[in-house]
Amino acid sequence: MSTLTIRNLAKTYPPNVRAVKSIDLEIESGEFVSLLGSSGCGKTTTLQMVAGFVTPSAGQVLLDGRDITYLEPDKRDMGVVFQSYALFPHMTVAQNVRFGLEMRKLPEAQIRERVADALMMVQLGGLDSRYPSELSGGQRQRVAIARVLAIRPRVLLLDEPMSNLDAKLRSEMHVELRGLQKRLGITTILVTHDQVEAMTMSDRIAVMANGTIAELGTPQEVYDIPSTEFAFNFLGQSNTITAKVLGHDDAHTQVSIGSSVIQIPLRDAGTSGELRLFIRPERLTLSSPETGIITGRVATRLFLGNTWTYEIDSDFGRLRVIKVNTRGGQPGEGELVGINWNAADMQSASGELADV
Amino acid sequence: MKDRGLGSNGFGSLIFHTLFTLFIVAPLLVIILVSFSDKGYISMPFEGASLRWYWAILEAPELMDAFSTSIWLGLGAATLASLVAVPAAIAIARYRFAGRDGLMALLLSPLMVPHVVLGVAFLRFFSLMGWSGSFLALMLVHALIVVPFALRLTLGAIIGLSRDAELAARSLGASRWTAFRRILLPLILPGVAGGWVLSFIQSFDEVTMTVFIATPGTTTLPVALYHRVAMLTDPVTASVSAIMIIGTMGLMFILDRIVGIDKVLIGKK
Repeated sequence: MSTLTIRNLAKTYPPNVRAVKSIDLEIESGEFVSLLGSSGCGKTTTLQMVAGFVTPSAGQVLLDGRDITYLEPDKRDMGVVFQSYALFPHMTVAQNVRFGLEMRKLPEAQIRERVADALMMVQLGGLDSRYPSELSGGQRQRVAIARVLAIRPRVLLLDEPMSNLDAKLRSEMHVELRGLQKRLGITTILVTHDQVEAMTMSDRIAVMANGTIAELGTPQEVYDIPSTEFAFNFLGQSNTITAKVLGHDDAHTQVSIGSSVIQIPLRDAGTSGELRLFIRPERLTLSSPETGIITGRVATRLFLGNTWTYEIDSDFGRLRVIKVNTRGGQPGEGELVGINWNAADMQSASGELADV
Repeated sequence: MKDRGLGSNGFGSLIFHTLFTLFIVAPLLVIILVSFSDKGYISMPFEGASLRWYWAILEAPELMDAFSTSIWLGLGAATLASLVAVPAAIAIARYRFAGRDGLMALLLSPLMVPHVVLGVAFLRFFSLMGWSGSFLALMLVHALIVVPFALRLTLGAIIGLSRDAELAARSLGASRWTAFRRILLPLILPGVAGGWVLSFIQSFDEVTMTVFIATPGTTTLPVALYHRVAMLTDPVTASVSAIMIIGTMGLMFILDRIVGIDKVLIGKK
């Protein structure tokens, strides 16, 4: 399969709108990389430059080492699945799927075989002669996927393909599409604003903001040890705590928060000044008041079925705690509770994490 | 707000519209009735109806020639206008470029200039260029005045059409031309065909300008009728008019089938 290299890629629209400032990304053969970000972060423009629909203002796109930056889209061998599916409404399912094969001037027998294979892969056998308007949203999406798989593209580009499906179908498609992608070993870029989608499907996630990549790593890396404050807040939820630095030794920094003084496993945080710390709500645990690192009083609690979300007023300010709905009593509103955490889970966005 | 469409008029406006419609339709009905007269002058066919004035058309070679001139002129002008309108509509709808508004204004401008003015101007222009009596020159001028109609309908079809299908075709391996031919053109075909039909009707019916520039060899049907009425008043003009009325209604019906008449006349999407 194919490797894709994106170097210093940028797009500026006149007069001076910098949709994409500078993207560097190396995608290995068979790898699934997601560009995750909110609308206007430049993710779709990046994908369109890779597909050849938008001409970059600067930078390069290399496919297997060959510069394709200014190559026409029809010469790229890439399969694009659009958010709108972009099926050809005046053609049947089979005609849609065979379009790319006809463009490649394959012999008729081979076209038929590949169309049947592609429709089988997406479990759409038997619908060959239907028109797109006669299909459900989920079926249309499968046709769009079959259409690009049929040409056996070197790179698969997915532009928010799941955003028009209902939640249940979407999570089924995550699993199915990921399985298909792994089996076929196609190098894939997914553009999405849905973090669950990015986490479940990707080998690596590039979190994008303001036309650049803010965070790049495996789903676990970008969630567990992000290096930017943006990523802490964009991916999942975070409690933000402002701490005053008191001093540090080789492996730890001593900080004061409210009336508490604690150690965090952080070097190079300086010897004074303020530090913003982050901790995920699910990394905080509740106990009886006397066994907590700090204590707090439950302000509100929300029941979400599998979990409880607590808002607790403490010395650290208001903290959000997510607790699995286990058997037994749950602290109620107004109750005093102890709050605990693993020292390693209290992180800083600016500093470097020590090995713990 | 309450939807006040065509079906929800008040009583007063209903009367107004009925009278208005009668006022427009009555002369047409009279002409059609007169065409069935068996008398040698303009009269109602109450004392005896016949088709003799329809047969008489066949025996008026100048009308037959003019009829064929008008048909070929309409076919040529509508086709030329569509050949200009389709690429122009794609450029205007799809791209932002310097002179985009100017191009649009230029192509729609024939709508703004009175046809009398165009007629006088082209009469002078043709005689200067030595093109008087050229069918091709007449066709070019007709194409020019019907371009706005072809453009409006084609634009209506392209604007609002997502580019995704074309882009999908491109990335599946289609060249620009193939993507146009196999994807965009079929999708906008109703608008293009509607524009063509409307252009044909406009060209076929045009008299104000054509009367200035038509020569004996390039006389169109409406111009021939005009000249005939100026000289004699037999019911042949009525029978020719009746045929034109029926023909135009037929084309309007086809237009309604392919694009919807309200879309053409009101510009509704």
